[in-house]
Amino acid sequence: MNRAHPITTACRPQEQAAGAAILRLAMLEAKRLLRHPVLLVGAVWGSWYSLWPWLYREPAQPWSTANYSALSLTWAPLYVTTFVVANLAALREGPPTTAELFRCVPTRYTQRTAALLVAGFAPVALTGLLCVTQLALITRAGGVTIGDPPGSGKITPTPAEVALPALIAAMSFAAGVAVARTVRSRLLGAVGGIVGGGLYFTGYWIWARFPTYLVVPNAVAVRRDIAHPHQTLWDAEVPFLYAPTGGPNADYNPNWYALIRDLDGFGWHLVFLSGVTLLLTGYALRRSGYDPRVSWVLSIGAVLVTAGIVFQLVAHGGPFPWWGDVGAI
Amino acid sequence: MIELSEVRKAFRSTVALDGVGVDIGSGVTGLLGPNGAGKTTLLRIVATALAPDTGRVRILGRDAATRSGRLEIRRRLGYLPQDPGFYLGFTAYDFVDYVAILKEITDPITRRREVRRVLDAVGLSDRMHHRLGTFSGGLRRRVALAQTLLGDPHLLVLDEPTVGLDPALRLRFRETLSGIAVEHVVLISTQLTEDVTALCTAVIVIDRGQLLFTGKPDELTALADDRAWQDDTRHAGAFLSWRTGDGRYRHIGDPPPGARTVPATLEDGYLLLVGGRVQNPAQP
Repeated sequence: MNRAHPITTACRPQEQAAGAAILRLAMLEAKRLLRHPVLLVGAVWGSWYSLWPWLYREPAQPWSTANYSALSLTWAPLYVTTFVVANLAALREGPPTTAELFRCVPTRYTQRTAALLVAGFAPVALTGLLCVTQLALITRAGGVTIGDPPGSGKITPTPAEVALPALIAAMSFAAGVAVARTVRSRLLGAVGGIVGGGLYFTGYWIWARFPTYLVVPNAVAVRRDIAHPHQTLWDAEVPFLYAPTGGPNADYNPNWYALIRDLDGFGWHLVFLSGVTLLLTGYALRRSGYDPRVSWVLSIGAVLVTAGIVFQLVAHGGPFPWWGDVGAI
Repeated sequence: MIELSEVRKAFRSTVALDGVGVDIGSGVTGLLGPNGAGKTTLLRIVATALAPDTGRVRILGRDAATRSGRLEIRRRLGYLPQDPGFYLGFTAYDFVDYVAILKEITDPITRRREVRRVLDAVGLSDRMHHRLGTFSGGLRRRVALAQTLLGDPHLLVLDEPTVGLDPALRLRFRETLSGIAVEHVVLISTQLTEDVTALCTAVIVIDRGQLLFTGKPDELTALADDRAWQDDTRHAGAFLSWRTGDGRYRHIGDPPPGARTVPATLEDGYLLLVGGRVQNPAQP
């Protein structure tokens, strides 16, 4: 104890500083999130799947769109760990820890939740940074191969396609906080993250066959042209890339899928994901206490979700089977 | 500065506070009472952690029943709960820094200086970057005390603040509180009557949710004047008897004729009051 240092120089808390407190708290939480070993494991694991294969050249692909489809799927470890660290951070404050102490500070529970949600930009930015790195590697490798000879070609992912993993990470983070504000269980959070991540991996293969494809996290801009589901290579009219219906080695099969790049629909899928993220954010805030501004967050989220679903359908050119394959590859 | 009027709080069928009314001014006020008397409930209401069922609470001129009032009170409050809880993965510095932000001390330079100041005040300068998970109970208590001092609060509400502190630190802490209490309000709940004797300018005694005494420590001590005596043997008629370090017996209660009375202590007065053997003459 320093006896020569009497307490006489204390500063006073600033008045009307709630906004500044949220920002500072968010910065502090962001630093802690980025140092969290679980998130770091997710980043390394995701990079192993997503960056390493592209380090020198394009990896061989088992079917005509495999490398393209994998662009967002291989970041799944990062999505799962983002969910888990958000859940853990949101569960830190509770009756066994600091709930009583923090009930008596000027920064309210809603504001503390808001700060944590703002801090979620850190893992989202990390995901974005890794995806930009992936884009650079893909560009250096000459792009992603789509289709099969003689109709194959190379495409470079657009910024919208690169943004998808970051948006999924944002949604995962908001979901982690929302789950923590619903059920105070670390175990449930971890299980939810793993099951959710597992569904993400497997869901693509299941839900792409149904209209629910429009409301799941994953999306691809390259799809089969469902207007002309089966045609011979020589009869195809527009598309620039083709894939045989029987797989790349099915030389005997005369029918081909025409592959189209539907960036409009993909863009609306991003709008849908943004809406879901806002809905989860608003829900987590509402569970933390009453604030009239939360209604705006929820309303905007609902509008974006609705618009995202409707315009994915509208933007999906040509006739499409409503209750069936919506043309995902 | 703290005005409680007809405050009642019940937890289901258990009445924790039953129509408590008290005014507390600047200085250190000690809150005494047996276990389950309602001390912690009273402190939680003053700290705005708990709302009373009925009654009026005004603190530092603000109405604690309104949201804006509570916010203004919390901006001027340092609160130490009975069981504060910690983030064990944080260092002492990180934890106090975190609380400083929650107390709206947002300027980084000011905050850094303030966090170091309060950690220094509780003697943790040399361990501020150690994780709380490695701290003993006493060291964690110091961290909890440090966060209450952040921002030079006008009102300090401390539940058992000196529990777990070594004697040197307890003295230092008393000195710190005395300095703060010159201008501000400090309300401490304690089981240690020596804390009240050494530190408090006023004392409140409650039992079973009801106010038994408000006044100065000397007045509480005076309740036991001529009611404490010493003898070589245990006295069956005494209200309480206990053997002291010199092997003799100290008694409180109604002394027998010829008993050798000794100067009363605050503890004597408190025990007689809670035991129902005396009444505060100022109380109805």
